[in-house]
Amino acid sequence: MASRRISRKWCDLPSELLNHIAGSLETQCDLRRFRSVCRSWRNSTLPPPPPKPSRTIYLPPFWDDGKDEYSPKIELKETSVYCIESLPSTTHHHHQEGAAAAAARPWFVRLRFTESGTAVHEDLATGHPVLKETHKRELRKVLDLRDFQVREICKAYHLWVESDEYFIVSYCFVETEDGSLMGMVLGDKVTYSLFWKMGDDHWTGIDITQDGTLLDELVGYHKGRFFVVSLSGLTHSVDPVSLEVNQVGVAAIQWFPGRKYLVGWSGDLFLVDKRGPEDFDEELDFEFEFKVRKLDEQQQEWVGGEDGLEDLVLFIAYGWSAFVPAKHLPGYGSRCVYYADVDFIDRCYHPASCFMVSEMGGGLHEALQLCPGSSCSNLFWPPPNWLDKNPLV
Amino acid sequence: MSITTENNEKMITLMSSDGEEFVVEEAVAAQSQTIKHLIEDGCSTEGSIPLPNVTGRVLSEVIQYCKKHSSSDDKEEKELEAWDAEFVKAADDHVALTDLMMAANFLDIKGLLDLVAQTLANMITGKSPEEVRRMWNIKNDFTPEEAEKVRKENQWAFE
Repeated sequence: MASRRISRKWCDLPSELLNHIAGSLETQCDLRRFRSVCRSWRNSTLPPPPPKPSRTIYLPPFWDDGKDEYSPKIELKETSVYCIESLPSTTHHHHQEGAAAAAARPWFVRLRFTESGTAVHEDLATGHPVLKETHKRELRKVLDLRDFQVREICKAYHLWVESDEYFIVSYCFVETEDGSLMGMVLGDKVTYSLFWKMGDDHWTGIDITQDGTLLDELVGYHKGRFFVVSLSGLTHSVDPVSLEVNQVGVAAIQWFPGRKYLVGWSGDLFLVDKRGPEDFDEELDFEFEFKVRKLDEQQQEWVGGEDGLEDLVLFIAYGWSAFVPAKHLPGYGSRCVYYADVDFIDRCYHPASCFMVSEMGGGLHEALQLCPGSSCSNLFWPPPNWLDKNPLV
Repeated sequence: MSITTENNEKMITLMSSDGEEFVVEEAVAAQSQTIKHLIEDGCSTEGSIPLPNVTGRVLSEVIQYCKKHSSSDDKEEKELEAWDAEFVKAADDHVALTDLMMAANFLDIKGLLDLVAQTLANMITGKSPEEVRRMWNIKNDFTPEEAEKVRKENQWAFE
């Protein structure tokens, strides 16, 4: 192997060049491993920052009518979704080839970090704390980040309003580049789309459709802009700095009646439209499908087709959704949707063991049978074997 | 000494640390910011430009890279990327990539420096520290105290 020629020289590289190599590593875990090889490698780099404490923020009331009325508490909770993968070198010792791929399938966790830097497991699908002691025992006490490939998939935001009177139609919060937060909310009691950014003591109303009619259905964020989609498919972008509104898509979508999601990937924004029962309690067997459209801003259209989705896996849960490249997820089907949003969660046992799996695309797919008490995917609970329960503490 | 070709292309002579001479077009040599500045300062007019830090074997690889990149424009980005990947794979068979990286750094060729850094980074991605040490024969020179500090620094403790 030719790269063995490097051996004599690699440790003699000047610090700035070692630093350059470290800077080309894709994940923070690879940087951690890099820093653990030898002194010169360690000294050439700064340690990765410790995890930032997850935020819980109380937001201002949605409107202030000047009366001394009771205003419900509005709370925003932040968690992070990580994908943990065993290193190929460590799993091959334990598993047969072939079986290895399935056994070493990456695992997803949703974590909240406390002020002191410890991690708290939250349910992957719901964001609820994993409380039961029996469940906690299944989980590791300590995770050595050098032994795994750990990728942060996204942040998850959960908005909670202390009153049943306020029905939130859709919301979207994001962390900005400087680490602060901003978000938009569409609610049925609020005439305008509402915008808030950290530091604001009130929400700013944005009249998207200019005539005060509230038909907006869905809000998302991608590449520096919020996107608001109305029931008819009419789509506007909102610039979070100037709050300028621009129409980017015309009204011409035949929707399914189910839930919808805006999920960005690379340069594109996708609209995910779910068809299937909204109330899973009623049915044991059901069919569902996901239709994915891409925003073509030039033509101002949501276009169908699967361009750009070939090598992606889509995850949708309560408070987070993300496309993940299939190459990072051996054992998961590319072009598949792993779904566990609020309408489905009641059917799951906590912690989330069930995610529905469906293909993205056009036609109707084979119905998956869900049996109460078992799970259809069983991917995220219990933790996989390669994550030994309680190794060295 | 500078020669001019039939196409009126000015030629530059580069001399490696082991005395090997390479005659290249000025545009090729100027891919290196270091050489470009030497040319601008008039250092190329008398005889060849000595490169005391770069061996002939490595310089020959560097020149291959510079030739390709001086003759391609930005429109061919995809093709160039594929060429880069092939180039660095082949270079790995001839020279130590760490030497190539040293040369790219000394000669200040940003594209080549990034390419080699990325290639080296890819080689260690997903490998445990022990595996990296074993594969490239690197000594674990941490004291027990340091090793403990490293361990502590790399863990998530769960509540």
